[in-house]
Amino acid sequence: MHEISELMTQDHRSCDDFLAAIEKAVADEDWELAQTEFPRLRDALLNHFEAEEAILFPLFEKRTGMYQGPTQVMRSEHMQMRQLLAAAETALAERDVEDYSGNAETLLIMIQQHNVKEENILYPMCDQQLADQLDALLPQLQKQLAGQAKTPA
Amino acid sequence: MQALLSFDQAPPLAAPLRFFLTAPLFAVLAALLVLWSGPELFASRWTGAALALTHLITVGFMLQVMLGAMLQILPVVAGANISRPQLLATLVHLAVAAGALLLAAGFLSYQPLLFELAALSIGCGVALFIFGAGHALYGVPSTNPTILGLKLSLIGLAVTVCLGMLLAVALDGALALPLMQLTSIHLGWGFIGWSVVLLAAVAFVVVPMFQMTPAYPEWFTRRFSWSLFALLLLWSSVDIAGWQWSSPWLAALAVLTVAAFAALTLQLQSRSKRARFDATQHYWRVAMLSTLAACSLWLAASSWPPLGERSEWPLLCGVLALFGGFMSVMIGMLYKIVPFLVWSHLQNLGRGRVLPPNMNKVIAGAQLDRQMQAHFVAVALLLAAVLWPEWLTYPAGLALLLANAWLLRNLLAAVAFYRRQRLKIVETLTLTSAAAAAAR
Repeated sequence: MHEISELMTQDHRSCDDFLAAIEKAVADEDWELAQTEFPRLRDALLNHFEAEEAILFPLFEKRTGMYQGPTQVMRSEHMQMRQLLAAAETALAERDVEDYSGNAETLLIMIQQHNVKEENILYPMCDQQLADQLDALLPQLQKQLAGQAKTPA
Repeated sequence: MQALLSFDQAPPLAAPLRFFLTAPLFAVLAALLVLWSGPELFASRWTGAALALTHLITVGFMLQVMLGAMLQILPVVAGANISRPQLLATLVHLAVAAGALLLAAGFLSYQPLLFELAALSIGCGVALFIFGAGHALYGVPSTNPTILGLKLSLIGLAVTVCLGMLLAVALDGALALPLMQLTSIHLGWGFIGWSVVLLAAVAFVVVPMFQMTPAYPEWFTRRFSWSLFALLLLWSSVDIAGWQWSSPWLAALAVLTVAAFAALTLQLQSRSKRARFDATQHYWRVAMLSTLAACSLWLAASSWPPLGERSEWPLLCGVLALFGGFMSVMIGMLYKIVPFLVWSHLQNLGRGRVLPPNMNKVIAGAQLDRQMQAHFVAVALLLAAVLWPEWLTYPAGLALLLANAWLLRNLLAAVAFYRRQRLKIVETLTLTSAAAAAAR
């Protein structure tokens, strides 16, 4: 009943872990570690966005007819997070602690309030609306989250 | 489902901000009251000045912050959009702020008319808010403990305010009601049924997410708010029915449940994955420690008569809960909510083409840290002032004044930052669109 929620929520948590690992490396001024950790966060986030924008949302929109609803809001928040991610990456390359921390903190809050909306509202709706398509949908989502589908845009 | 169609409809920035900016003004008034009334304020919890102080903090500070925060979080956590948030915020804010002033004036002068006007004003403001929020929440299923907690806390607020209104009109003795008993029930619902239930509902979401801790255990979050509610209901009924033998036990159970929440939050916080504690996390930790201390003191005073007979303990409990607990956690949250809201509104204004500076630039970190230290000093001095009022009332009042003037300064700095950046963004957008038009 809650397969989509569980899968996507679990992926949210692993993105949190990557963010925490970079934060710790930056706090320790271990820039090399921070720079090797960063691509894991970037890939995990971008794969997650792609799984939603290319696979989950279109199915949801088609099923419910809600093209301008919650999915549209989520897409625009993805855009904002992509920009923050890029700003954090630049700050990291320049080894600017203050700038990195500020952008990462903003990204964290942006991610978390976005996650609350998805986990409380959108995913449960997806579970409900797409229950009959799970067999095809879940493997597709898992593949995209793991970055094994074609490279995210 | 209807509510979901527009679930990004965050209210305009001014709607929550008017509540957040008013709160420190009431705390400043509370500090001035401490300085004006002097050591006599701490003679007992029943002095007019102590009651005025309590309500300047609960209705003036806490209720303002909680109403503003609720306006903001209902769409996010429950997908519940309040219709016409700007109008609702203006009316509710005005009524509750005026009511808090009238109430404090009432306690200081004991003029029945002031109490009646205060009851009318607060009653109308809160009723309007509950109507607006209730309308938005109507039909939203309580799929998780946070949504359930938010709904229950609104009921807790309604009970608290109704009892308060009843007390306000009964104070002259005309209605022949058991005033002391009603006061303790009013206090129980205000502290636990409204404030703790709301705080916990928010904590279940924000502690794990922003402090990167493990989640609260499901067995706890599923049972917490309705158990507290059931205990409160039972305790109030038993107390009114006059079954004296069971009422202290039920009250103790409710206090223990609150203590369990504080202890669990501290334990989770100790497992945070964040590299360093920022002001918000320090504020949360001190708030939970104060709550634990208040609960322990309450339990000790209720079970050990030599302590229970002293007049200081209710005042110590009050200072720990209100200043150390609720105020701390609320200021800590304001330091995340306000910068993020400012950033997010600027971000939307820039339409993705002009990026605002990140949220840590909204209020300087050093200002947050120093304000936090001033607040902690104020809490410590207020506690000491309860024990040695002759010596420490004035230093405590001054520290409270400083901490809250500083809080106001920090929040105004965020508003000034918003205004500056908004101008810049609008200018840049006009320039780029003019350049694009010229190129065509």
